[in-house]
This record gives sequence, C-alpha cells and structure tokens, in this order.
Amino acid sequence: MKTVMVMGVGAQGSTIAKRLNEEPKVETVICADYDAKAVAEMEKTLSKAKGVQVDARSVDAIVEAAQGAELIVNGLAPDFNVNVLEACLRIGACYQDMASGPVSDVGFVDAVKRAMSYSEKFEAAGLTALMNTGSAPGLANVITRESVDQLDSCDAIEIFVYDAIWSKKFIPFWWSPETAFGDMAAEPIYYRDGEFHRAAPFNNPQMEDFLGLGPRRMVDHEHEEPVTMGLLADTVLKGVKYVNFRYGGPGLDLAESFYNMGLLSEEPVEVKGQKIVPMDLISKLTPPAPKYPEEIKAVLDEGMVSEEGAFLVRVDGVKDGRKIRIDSYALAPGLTESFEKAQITHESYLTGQSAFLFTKMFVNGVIETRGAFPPEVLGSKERGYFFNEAAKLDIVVEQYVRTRLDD
Amino acid sequence: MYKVIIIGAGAQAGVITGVLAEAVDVNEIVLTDIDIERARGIARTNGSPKIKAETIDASDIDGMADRMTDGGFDLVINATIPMFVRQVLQAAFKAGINYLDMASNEIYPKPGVPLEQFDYADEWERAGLKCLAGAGGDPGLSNIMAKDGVEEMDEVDSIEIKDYGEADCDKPVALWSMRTFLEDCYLPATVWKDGRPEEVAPFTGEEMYKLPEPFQGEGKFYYHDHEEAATIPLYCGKPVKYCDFKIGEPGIDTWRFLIEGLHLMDDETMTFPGGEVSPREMLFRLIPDTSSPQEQIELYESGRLESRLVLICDVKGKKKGDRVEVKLWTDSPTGAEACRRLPGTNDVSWMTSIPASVMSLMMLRGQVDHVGVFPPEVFTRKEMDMFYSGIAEWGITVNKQIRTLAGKEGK
Repeated sequence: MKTVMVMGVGAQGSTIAKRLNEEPKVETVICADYDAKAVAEMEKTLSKAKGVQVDARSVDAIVEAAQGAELIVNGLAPDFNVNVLEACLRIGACYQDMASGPVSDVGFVDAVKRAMSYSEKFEAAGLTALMNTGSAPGLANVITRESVDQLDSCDAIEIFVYDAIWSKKFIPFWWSPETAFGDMAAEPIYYRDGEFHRAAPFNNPQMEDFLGLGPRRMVDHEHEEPVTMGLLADTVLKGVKYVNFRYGGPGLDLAESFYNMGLLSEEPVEVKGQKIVPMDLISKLTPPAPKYPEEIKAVLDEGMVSEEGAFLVRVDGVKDGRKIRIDSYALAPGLTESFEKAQITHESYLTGQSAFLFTKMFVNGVIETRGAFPPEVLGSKERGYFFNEAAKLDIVVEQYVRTRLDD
Repeated sequence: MYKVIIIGAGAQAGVITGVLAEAVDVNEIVLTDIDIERARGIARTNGSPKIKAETIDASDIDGMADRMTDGGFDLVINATIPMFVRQVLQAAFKAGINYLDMASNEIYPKPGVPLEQFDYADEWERAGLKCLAGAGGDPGLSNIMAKDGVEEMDEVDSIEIKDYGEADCDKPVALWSMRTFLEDCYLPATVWKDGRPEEVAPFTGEEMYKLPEPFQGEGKFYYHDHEEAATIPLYCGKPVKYCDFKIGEPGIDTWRFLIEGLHLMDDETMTFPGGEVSPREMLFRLIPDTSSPQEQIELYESGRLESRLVLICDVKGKKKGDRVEVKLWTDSPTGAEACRRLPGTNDVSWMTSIPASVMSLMMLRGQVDHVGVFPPEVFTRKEMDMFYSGIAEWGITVNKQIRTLAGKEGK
C-alpha cells in the first residue's frame, strides 16, 4: 500500500500516522481531522503527511479527501464508523477501526452487528474491514483465538484488564476522562448460552489473583469483546458458552464512588432552582490525560504511586476429553518505560502500537481474509505475524496451560 | 430524679436518648430539633414515655435559654451540628445549667483558645457551672485514652490518635453527617509540635498503619481537622512534644481525589447549560443525607449494610529512663450489633454517643468534679475508671498494651 488515510488524528490516530510515516512502502499518509490545528500539526511533523480538514458527518467529504487511499484507518469515535465504512466501499479501500461502541443511535450489540453486516459487501469487493483493533479490543481478541484454537471445544472466555498506573499528580484516566467515566457507568454486556445480557454497572466485584501481582478487585465492564465473540461463538470460537470482560484499578474504584454518589449521572438535578447535569461538572473538573511529551514528563518528574497492571485472557474448554484452562498474560511497558521508548504514555503505547500492528499487516499485505470482522477471525498465519511484530515492540504474551492429569 | 434537654435530634440523639431513657434516675428527656419530625421519629423508635419531642431553633439563644429555664433541666446536651456550639453554650449559661457537647466548630479561633467553648471559660468558672467540651467518642473517649497512656510515663514524646471505619453497603449511605466530614477533610488540620499548635494541609501526613483485629491488614490515614491535638497537650497533665489526629477508611483516597484532584469542595461558581453553580453546591446536593433510624434498621436487618470502627491511641515517652510505648484501642459493637441493641443506631453513633451518654450521667450524678470549661482529659483516675465501667456496660471496651524498651533512652 502506498497511500493510507488516517481519519481522526487524536491520541491513537496520531500514533498510527507517525508509525505509518516510518513504513518504507507507504508514500503518502493522508491525515484527516475536523480540527485544522491537529491536521496542521501532523503536516508539520510528518514528512509523508498530507493534511486535510474533513467533516466526517459527510460520507462525500470523506470520499473526496480519501481519493487514492488503499486503506482508511478510522481513529474517530464509533458514531462515525458507518460513514467511514461507506466511504471505503465507494473508493475501494480497506477499513480499520479501534472501537464499535457505544454509539448514539442504536444499542451496543446492534452497533456491532451493523458494522459486521458490511461483511458481504467488503468480501464481494475483495476488501477487508477489520474492526476493534487496539489492545482491548484488538490484541485481546487475537490472543483469545490463539487459545481457543488449542481446544476441541470452548466453555468460557474472560478478559481481565487491571490498570493501576497511578501518579502523584491526579490523573484518574490515561485516555479521555469523559469517555472513561461514560464507559464505567454503562451497563456491562456479557454473553451466556447464545444470548446477550445486561448487568448493573460495577457488577460482580470479585478479587482476581493475577500472577506476580496478587489479588485485585475486578468488576464487569461494558466492552466489545463479549459482543463480537458472542456473535462468532459457533463459527469461530468453538461454541463458547460464556464471554465476559472485567476491569479493575483505582480509576475504576474512583468512578464507582462517583457513580454511587450520582456524580456520573446524565440526568439533570435541581441545584438552587437550576437544572444541572452532574456529569457536566465532572467532565469540566477532571484533568485530561497528558498527551504531549512535556506533560508526561512533568507527571513522571512529580513521581508515581504505583505502576502495575495486568492484561489477562482466560479461556476454559476441553481438549482430548480433559478440561483445560489457558491463561495468557500480555506484558507491555508501563508509563516510565513507554515514555523512555517512545515519549508516549503506556495507554498510547499498548493501544496505539497494537492498532498500528494491524495497520502494518494491511500495508504489508499480510491480511488475506476478506469481509468485515474483528481480529478473532484472523487466521493462524496472520496472528503469527502479529505476535512476532508485537514482540519487537516489547509487547509479549506469556501463556500458561493448566489441566488436571486425573480428569 | 434528673431532667435533660437535648438540642438536635440526629444520629447521636438516637443513642443518647436510648441510654438515658434506661437510667432509673432520669425521668424526663426533652428532645428538640428545628424539624420536630426528626425528634418524633427518635421518640417513636425508642418508645420510652420519658422522651418528649419539641421544636427548637438552635440559632436562637434567647429562645433556647427561656425553654431551658422554664424546664428546670439539670443538663443541656448539645447534639446538634458544631456550627451551633456557641449559641447552645450561651443559652445554657443564661439558664444557669451545666452543659455537655461532642464537637467544636472552631479549632484555635484565637491564640491561647484551643476551641470556641474555651472563649467562655472565665465566666463559667466564676458562675461555678460545668461545661464538658468534646465529650463524645473522638473527641471524648479518645482524649481519655490519651490521658490513660500519659499516666504511664514521666515524659511524653508523642500522642497519635487514629479513627478508622469501614462501611459496606450496596447503596450510598451516610452513617453520620457527610457534609461535616467533607468540611473537616477540606480544612487544614491542627497538630501539636514543640509546644505549640501548627496547621498542616489537608490530606498530608499519609501513613499506612497495621489495624488491630478484627480489622485486617493496614489502613491508610491522613491528618484530619479535629479537636484532640488542640486540647490534649494543654489539659492531659504533662508536657507533650507532639500530638496529632488522623482519619482513615478504605475509601479515604476517593475523598482525597474528590477534594484535591477535582476540587469539588471549591466555592467558585461555574457555568453550565442549565445555570451557574459551584462544585461544592453540586456535591452537597448529591451526597446522601444521614440515614434515618428506620432506614438503618432495614439495611442492617437485611444484611445490606455492614459497618464497624475503631479508635486507636499511641502514646510514646519515657519512664524512669526507659522508653515506653502505650497502645490503646477500642472494641465496640458493629453497626448491626448496635442497631439490634438500640434500634436505629449504628457503630458510629454508638461510639460517639455511648461515651457522651455515660459522661452525661456522670455530670447529672455529680460524679465530675471540675468547674468551668474543660475537656475529658482532665478526668481523674477515679473519673476515668467510672467512665470505662459505664461504656463497658454498653459494649465499648478499651485494650491497652504497654511496651517497655529498657535502656533505650531517647532513641
């Protein structure tokens, strides 16, 4: 691929654009955003960048800006996914995004189904639309499929993400706080026996004993994995019966306290005779995640309280008549190491670099599967390439297979 | 037979009326509040015919004084929020009635005056009246624990007091005034250093401390705006080099982030699509009110709410050249146990109000031999033992551990 468009050059999009700029095969990186300043910044700093201001609410505008692109990497909020998918079909480009929901017009499950419904059109056009390509979802889905393929049948998939990168300077989240608080307060979805179920926010608090870390409190959390994996349970994931996503860390504990107090509510409350939305107040007061190197350095200079985390994909199933559990831990640099390596945060490193690895697979023609699908659909050869390239970035996966010999 | 008037029908009054109603020598308890329904609610829940509910305005000194005089009361118990300390105290003085409270609103309002109650010390002493200030759990029991430790040594290096509570519920619940707690968290704390009080910033003095059983593991503590470090060094009977008060709970950092990180206690008005409010106004609109007696009964009986707390006091110093470390800590009913014993109460109101009730009875019975304005740490050994026996009858006991390091002078 010679020309790639990055639609939306925020935290993740800009990371991908920078990495594309280093790819030998890529000649032009079209950096598109509604924010002219962000576009100009890309054009100024990247030699292959061609900046263009685009209003993604218009498919025509995306099509016009993307002329010549063979791939559009969608770094926008999920509300724009359909427009970018449509634009890709019109110009004959492949598609990649990092999240499926939530969106404002339909429910989470329907948003995922709608994106996956483009599969036939992309396949007919000989194109690929790869959705949910960050760390979780993204890396987690590839690891899941790698584990499931070792089984004869699959009973359960659980994905655990524990994030306790906590600095002395108050930074509750290392991505958009508004998005984070919104995600935390959403009702989690889990898949069981062919159906999707909603649970209450912060459902099912349990301690999970992570290897090398010890017990940490985890709760159910709304995420893409239970939805895509539930939809692909019988066709790709060997009849899995149960899929859940669990999250934990001080940011979540804080959000839970705020939620319980009503501070994350979108419903107006009366204060001094005026109707005020509590979430508006929290959004205004919460400091944004540091983005630029000097901001990150200032946080590191002030000191860290903890730099621990866990990324675990647990798959339970049966192999040769024996019950088997496969625990896969993804190991990646923390904040200090990510900054030393790439002048970015751990969040940008793991999510942005993982997303870029999928982009790199497109650029180098590694992805042979056609249609519209999430990463758990990728074949063995495609996954192998991904893991090898990830290891070069110090993102490695350790797998522990446990079985009982008397079963 | 004694007659008592209680100002404020909140969580503390629920316990105090319960204890006093069981005392054979107390025959009338007038429970007052600006909202008579709160007073009636406690009276109804308790069921004792000794309790009478009335309306009173704690900001109206003359009105309160008139009612106190007319009633011929033997003791005024101030159980309302600390912002009314001056008013209730002055009303009691005008009526010529002994007085007891459980907290203060002003720490060192002026040099040499540790709490606002002590602004009136001379006139109370001249009148031969008794004002027992800070006679709850902390301050109160905590001050007596400190005095107990101080008595074990010749020289006192440090007195460190800690309050740790846990409450687990599936809904937001406030076992005491969350507004008062947040205001205390927001204010600078007072520590005693080298013979004088010193202000320290909120959420400083971070300390991990091994908790006594039945608590597990360590708890995190910070300095907290409280009365103990203001009065104990002045009234415990020996010079004290250092004294502090710290508070801890599993969610203490949530409050820290809420106040320090998000500035939700700030007063500055912000503009939103719906209008203009300050973060503090929005926060106070959303935090739960102190739960009612009936709500607490339902939550504890259904098992939805579990809570417990502990007070800890570490006193360090020297005795006959050896280093001495005295650790004192409380055992007290859990919230559910407290609520079973006196319906509608909890572990926090119990820990605050059982000591207040016992000291009230001691005041009524003439067993407190001091005049003027004074804190509980002036108690004599005899008064302290009487107090310990009194709270033990209601399930609060104090453990004491003395560690002596022979020959470790000054280390």
